[in-house]
Amino acid sequence: MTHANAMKLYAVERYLLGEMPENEQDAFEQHYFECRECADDLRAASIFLENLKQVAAEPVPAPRPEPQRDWFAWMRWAPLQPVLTGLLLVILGYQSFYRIPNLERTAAAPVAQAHVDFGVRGEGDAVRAQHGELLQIETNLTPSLWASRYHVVVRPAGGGKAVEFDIDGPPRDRLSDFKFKVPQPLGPGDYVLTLHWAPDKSESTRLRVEIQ
Amino acid sequence: MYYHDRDDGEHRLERQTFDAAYVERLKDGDAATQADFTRYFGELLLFKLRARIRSPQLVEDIRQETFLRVFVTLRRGGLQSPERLGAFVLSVCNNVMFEALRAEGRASQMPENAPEPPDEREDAEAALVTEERKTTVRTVLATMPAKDRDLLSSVFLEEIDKDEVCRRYKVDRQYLRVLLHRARNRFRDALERDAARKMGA
Repeated sequence: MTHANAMKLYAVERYLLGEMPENEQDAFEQHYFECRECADDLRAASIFLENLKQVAAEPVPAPRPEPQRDWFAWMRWAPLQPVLTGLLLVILGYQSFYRIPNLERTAAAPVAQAHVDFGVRGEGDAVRAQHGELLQIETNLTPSLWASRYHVVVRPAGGGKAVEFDIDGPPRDRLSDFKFKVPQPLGPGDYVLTLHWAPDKSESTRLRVEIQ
Repeated sequence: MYYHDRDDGEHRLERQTFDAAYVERLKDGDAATQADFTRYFGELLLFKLRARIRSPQLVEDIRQETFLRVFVTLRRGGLQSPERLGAFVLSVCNNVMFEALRAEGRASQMPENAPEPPDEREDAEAALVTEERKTTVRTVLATMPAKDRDLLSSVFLEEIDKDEVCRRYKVDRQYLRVLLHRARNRFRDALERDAARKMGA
């Protein structure tokens, strides 16, 4: 066997794969015992295979679980920590010292109920309540005043900051049960309560309110 | 180029020529030349004998007897053609092998399905495997597609018929040869880079 033949026939690989007939095996051995280059190739391949057997026989490590996408990783960015802490303190302070006490006061406030017929009494008659009371309006709506949603504005008669809120209208078949509550106690004085038909507020009816 | 590990763990790159001077040094019992000779031909004898004999113990016995006869022959008269040292070693090995097989009452070639003897791994064979080489093999495997990696492992780890493995992976025997050829070249390149790096350090 010549060196060129050995290269062309993949002699090293066929020898190690046990693919050579005995006479060819003898010929290749004759060759590689005298050819340094083929001996080096055989050596490299044999060492590779011997180590491959060891590597392949090693236990396969358990697959590591795919890392979960951490949507909140940005919150752990060090420079952001003081900002987030400060923001949290502000929110806690607002809730603890303003929002929750206000809600508690509102919940504990007495309720003044007033029955009103919108469109009948008009602005002529006033609804009266005591200072510190929550005003609850109860009314029999006429079908022409029905809407699925209303916008309510309670404005001081002499001008000033108005209280505004939205309420759902009653079911069409229960117009007589419509009632709503002004969400915060009003200070002493005269007010005008306006009930707007949402969403365009193009139509409305009014009511005078006196807080004593 | 011929790379090998020295006993002290360092690497050395050398290419010795098998000529009259080399054979003369061998004949005179020069320790370094004898060490080089047994290292180089010890591996070639191992590869040859492993292709034909399954018992590691018998392989080792034949290697030792081959070296003994070669040294005795050299000291008695040397070689007429020193450049044919490799052919001479092989012919001695073949003689020893046939005598050993005859003595053991075995056929010249063990059947493919002969039972694997219990773990008798000899030092010469075990010396082929080192942690460093295993790391290099892992590096080479990492550069290969998963299918090729699995194919090579299946062929040389599982003792399944190679044709069956090729059918399973839908490749032919030539694909397997080329795959091994490329893996061997990458492995040798990696070893050479590593040896050059260590020599430079």
